[in-house]
Amino acid sequence: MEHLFEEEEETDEEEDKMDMAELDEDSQVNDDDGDDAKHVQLLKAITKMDNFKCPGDANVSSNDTCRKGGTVCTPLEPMRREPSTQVSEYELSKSNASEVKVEDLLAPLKGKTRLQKLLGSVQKTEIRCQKATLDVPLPKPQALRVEREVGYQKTSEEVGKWDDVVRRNRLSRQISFPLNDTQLQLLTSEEYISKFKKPSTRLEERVYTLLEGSPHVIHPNVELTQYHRILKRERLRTQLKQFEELKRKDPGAALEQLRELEQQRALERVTLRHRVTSRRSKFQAIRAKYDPEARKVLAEQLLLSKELRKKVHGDSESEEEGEVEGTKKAPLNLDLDPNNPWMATNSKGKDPPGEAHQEDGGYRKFWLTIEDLKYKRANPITNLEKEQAEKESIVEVVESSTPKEVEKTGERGRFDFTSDRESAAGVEKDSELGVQVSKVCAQEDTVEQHQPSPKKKEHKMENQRTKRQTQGNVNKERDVDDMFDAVEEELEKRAQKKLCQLRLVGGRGAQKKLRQLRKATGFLPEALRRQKKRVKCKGKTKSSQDWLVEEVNPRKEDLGLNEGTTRSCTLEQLDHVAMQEKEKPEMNQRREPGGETSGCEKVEDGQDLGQPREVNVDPGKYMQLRAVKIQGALPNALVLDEDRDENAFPEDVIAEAFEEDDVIEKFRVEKQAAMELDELKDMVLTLPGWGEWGGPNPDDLDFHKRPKKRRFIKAPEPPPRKDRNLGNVIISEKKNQMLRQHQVSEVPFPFLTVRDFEASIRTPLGKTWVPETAHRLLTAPPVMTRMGAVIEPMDSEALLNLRQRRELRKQANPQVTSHLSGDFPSKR
Amino acid sequence: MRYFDKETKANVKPSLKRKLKRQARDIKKFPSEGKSQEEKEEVYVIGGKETLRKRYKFKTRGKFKVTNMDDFKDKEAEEEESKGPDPFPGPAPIPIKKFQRHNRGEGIRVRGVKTKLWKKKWHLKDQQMKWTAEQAARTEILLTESAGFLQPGKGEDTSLYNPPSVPVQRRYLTVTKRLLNEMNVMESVHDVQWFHNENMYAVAQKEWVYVYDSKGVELHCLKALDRVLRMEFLPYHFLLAASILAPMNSTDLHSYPFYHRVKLRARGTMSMWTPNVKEPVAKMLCHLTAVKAVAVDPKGMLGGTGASELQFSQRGLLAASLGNVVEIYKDSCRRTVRKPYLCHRHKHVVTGLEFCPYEDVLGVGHSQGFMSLLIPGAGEPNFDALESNPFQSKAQRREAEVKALLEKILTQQPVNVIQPDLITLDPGELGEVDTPTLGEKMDAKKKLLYVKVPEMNLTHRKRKGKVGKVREEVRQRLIKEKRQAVPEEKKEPEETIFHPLNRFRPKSS
Repeated sequence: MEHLFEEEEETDEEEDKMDMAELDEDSQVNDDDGDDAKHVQLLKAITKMDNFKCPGDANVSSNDTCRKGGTVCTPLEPMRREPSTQVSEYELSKSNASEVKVEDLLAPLKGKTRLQKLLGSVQKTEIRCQKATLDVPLPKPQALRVEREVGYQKTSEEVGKWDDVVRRNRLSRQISFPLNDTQLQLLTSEEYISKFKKPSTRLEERVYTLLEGSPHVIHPNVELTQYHRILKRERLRTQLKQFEELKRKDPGAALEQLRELEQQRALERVTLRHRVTSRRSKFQAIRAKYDPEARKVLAEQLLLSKELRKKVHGDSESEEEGEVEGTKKAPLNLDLDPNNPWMATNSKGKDPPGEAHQEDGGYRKFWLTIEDLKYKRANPITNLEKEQAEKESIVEVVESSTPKEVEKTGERGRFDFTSDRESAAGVEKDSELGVQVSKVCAQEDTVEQHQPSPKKKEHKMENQRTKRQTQGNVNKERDVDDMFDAVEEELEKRAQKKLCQLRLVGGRGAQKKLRQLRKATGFLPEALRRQKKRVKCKGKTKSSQDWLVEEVNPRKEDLGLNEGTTRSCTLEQLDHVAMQEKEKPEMNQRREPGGETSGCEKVEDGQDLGQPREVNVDPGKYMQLRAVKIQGALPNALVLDEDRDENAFPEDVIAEAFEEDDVIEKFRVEKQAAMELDELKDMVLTLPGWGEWGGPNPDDLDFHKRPKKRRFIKAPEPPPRKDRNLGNVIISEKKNQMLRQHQVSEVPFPFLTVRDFEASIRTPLGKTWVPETAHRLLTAPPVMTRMGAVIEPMDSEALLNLRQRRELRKQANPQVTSHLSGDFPSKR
Repeated sequence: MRYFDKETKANVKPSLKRKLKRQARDIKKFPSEGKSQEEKEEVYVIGGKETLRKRYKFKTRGKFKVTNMDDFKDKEAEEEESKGPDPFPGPAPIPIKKFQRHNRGEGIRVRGVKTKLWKKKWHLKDQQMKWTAEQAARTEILLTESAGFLQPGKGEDTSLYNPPSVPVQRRYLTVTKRLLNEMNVMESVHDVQWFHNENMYAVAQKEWVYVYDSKGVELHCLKALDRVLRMEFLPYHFLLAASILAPMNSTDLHSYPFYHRVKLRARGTMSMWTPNVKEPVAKMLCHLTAVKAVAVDPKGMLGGTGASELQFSQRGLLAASLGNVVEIYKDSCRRTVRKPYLCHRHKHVVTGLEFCPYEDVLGVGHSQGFMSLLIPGAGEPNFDALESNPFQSKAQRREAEVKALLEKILTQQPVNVIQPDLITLDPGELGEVDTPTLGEKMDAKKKLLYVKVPEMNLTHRKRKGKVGKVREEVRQRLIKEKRQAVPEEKKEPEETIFHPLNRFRPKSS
């Protein structure tokens, strides 16, 4: 190394000096002006070059020799050299003669600050070289070992960088390959468009301004007609939305708008639009033969025209129909949902209540809530009426003594019904409810007539009504009132009939029964209460004697019964009704003399769909049942001997005949035996009979003196039985051999205990036993690969954290914004 | 994920306290208003998605910081953060009782797992399993239908309310609301059982058991089963269990789906059988007189015996008949009931009861026909459409049938041998390791030369319920024995006073 250094240094200097020398010499030559001198100089130079080229004399430069006064060789010494392949060894430089000292070489460096460093290092190495001698080289195997060790250290450090990455990948729940894949994000159309919001180039700007002002801009991809259709639909939708809002905020205005719509419809109707008369529609008709799309449009139009052409009748009855139809078919595509309570209220006043209830459930519910509110409002009035009620008939006096209770129970019962439970008998209940509602409604109306309530909600209703009236609906309103009156009368009749029936049973006795019934069933009084109220209201207008006369007439009652309270859904039920009608005269006859009633509650319960004979339950039976249901008591002996078939009880009879008293004791013995059987016995090591021989004193024998240990092996104590604390229960301790085949009998690798392995298989994976999300989590594959994707080996980028990686990306490619490339940097 | 109350917290080792504290951050007390104090104490938030994510956070070691969870934050989370603090932070709370209902007992302890990596892996897996239970508790909210019973008013009594009945004429037939078919077999009929779907049913007639389809066409005659008294179909195993008439003491095989045990009752005792063990797996003395009826609730956890007809509804109502009276009891298995929930008296002797699944209807067969009673609150309002779908279409029915068969076959080892091996008294037994066999295997290994067999703890895991009681008692007894053993040792030196002739004493004593 040192040699090399020196050489380099020297050669550098040599060249420098040489150039300098040459320049000097040139100047001298110019002074001499002699040919000989020139020649000599030339030769000199040539020899110099020769000397320099000489490999052996690499160290010895001509300059040095010059400086030292030509001690080594004279440049003028003739040396002939022929180019030859062979180099004589004698021509190589003589080592001893020309020894060069490093100090000499370094001497000129001393002044130069630039090369001080070099100087220092050279001196250091010189000192070192003087002091130490090289160690003896290690024997080969050891040297190799050291090499290996160092290599291992280095590579392990290198590889150790990856430890955390590997650990993370091994621990991660799921790895999807390729690892550094771009995460593609779905941009929503808005997001995508938002990128192009501002025109960037000048051309774009111009186009933009042009387009902005143009009325001819249409949706680029949509056909014109289709586009308009979509537009229209959208407009309708927004209108509907607005209407809904208006409904909520200002119902009056909403009604006004509806009216306007109606007017529009009328106008449209007058203009005979939507008929296949225009040129376009005619073409459409032709096209419809071949094009299903056109056919659809045509059909739509025809339907619309049909709807428009439908006549809206002027008189009240037909108007109702029209309204009902209107709600069904929805003119002008307005989403008039039949279940929409708003629309329901709109047409409320005009509907005959009974029919409406049968049509849809949602409407009825709404109706119920409204009526309920109304009813609550009406309560104070009824209380006021209570004072007047004293003048009225005995029945009313008895009833009014506990009106609040009645109301309470009634209310509760009713809410039970209205709860959303759909049972098999739901239909019947519904019909019953419908009836009730109609009653309440009718009653409410009469109440209003008599004494308008002062409360706020009432005012609202009133307001609505007045509005309607101002809109010119006075006639309608009157019609509705008439209708209500009619319904009212009908209901009145029914109520009177009911009361009459009760009275027929016998004055106060009947009242008692009624009260008992009321207590027994939460449902019953509801209907009754309504009817009573009805009667009270009516009591003012008519004298009590009047309706007493009415009540006594059974035929009228029957008529009333057939008309309303029940609804027969199927043919069977209709048959039942017919049957009932036939039987009725007989029943009535029976009723009159005996005073025994049957089948009156059933109507109120709404359970009258079944066979009349079987369901009839008289109140007396309720009492009997109470006696029966005392715990442990058997029902009364059956009188129906013909019912008792042979299969009914024979085993019981036999069992009783052979019943044993000591069952418990027997079971105890059985348990004891089972326990003994399961226990492990001590093992006797002696042969049977061994040591049992007789003699004068057998216990003295040597055999018996031997320690017990040698004669028995004591059985290990079994684990406690499962049934040891359960009295009369035996649980077998035998292992299920069949099941053992299916059990795991080894504990696999990472587990050290049975318990933890069992814990690891405790959760089932199937969808049947765990929620879907959990199922997916538990069964997710640990490694995922995308089909067709090349999985490249990880590069050192994986060692960086994501933020660093992102920054790196940015540096490399600053134009790619994070928004476009997603959260994860992509590899391209 | 870990939830604890104050007591257990106090019992925790100090070394674990730090860990618990860390976990406690995920557990927030749920402010429950208008509830009793006890309930308040019980309700805790159990970790949700957020905590799960935290758990997967990878701890870095040394100079290479590999992951930074902030990088995983998605846009939405960032947006949410910008909105300000969440007024309801963390996942929605779950009542602890709900969670326990779905939890499957003890989890994995890390010290029972080898190597660091696997410890970590199984810890994560365990968290997933707990999360599964938590998720199951959360999905309970999807059971939208609510069940209700008749609510009596003040001074009212539901038992006085006569359930409305819908009488239907029939000679004999399995009970359906829609009459499928009607026929006369001209023989005595002892029992009728549906098979896995409504397409087939078995009828135990005077001589043999016949199988009919829903239209009444005879499909099969099982002559192996003669003079059958009662039958029961096991839907998961596709097995028909039948009892055969024996002289004098009538035996009746009966079973129910969850535990698949077969009960036999005679002379006041009820015994449970499985096809795998030749003796009854359990026996119980219920009455002094003969047990005539046995009923088990659909969950398979509760049972009842009686002298007449008995039947449990899906919601746990118990219907019992006595002569001509049908009584329905509510909540009869958890407390003593003084009076029935509903009561119905009929003209004729009641011979059979059956609740209609998913409906509030009780079918009552009497000596003259059949009728159905409306029992509010009897049926389960929420049905699992994959388990049994009341609105099943034809295609669904076929698929369900195939799947059921596949499941059955997969659970049976040799496919051709259809044996109900898995029927046990304790259904969780299958998830346990067969420790006797494992012990034998280990012993055999120990006998081999140069084989080092690691020590293994063979105790089973604590499952739900009171299984641990037995083990606890064993432990207590061992402790007692140890304590007793100590004073005995003290006595010994007193006795052994040195005597030269003592060496002739027997060594054993």
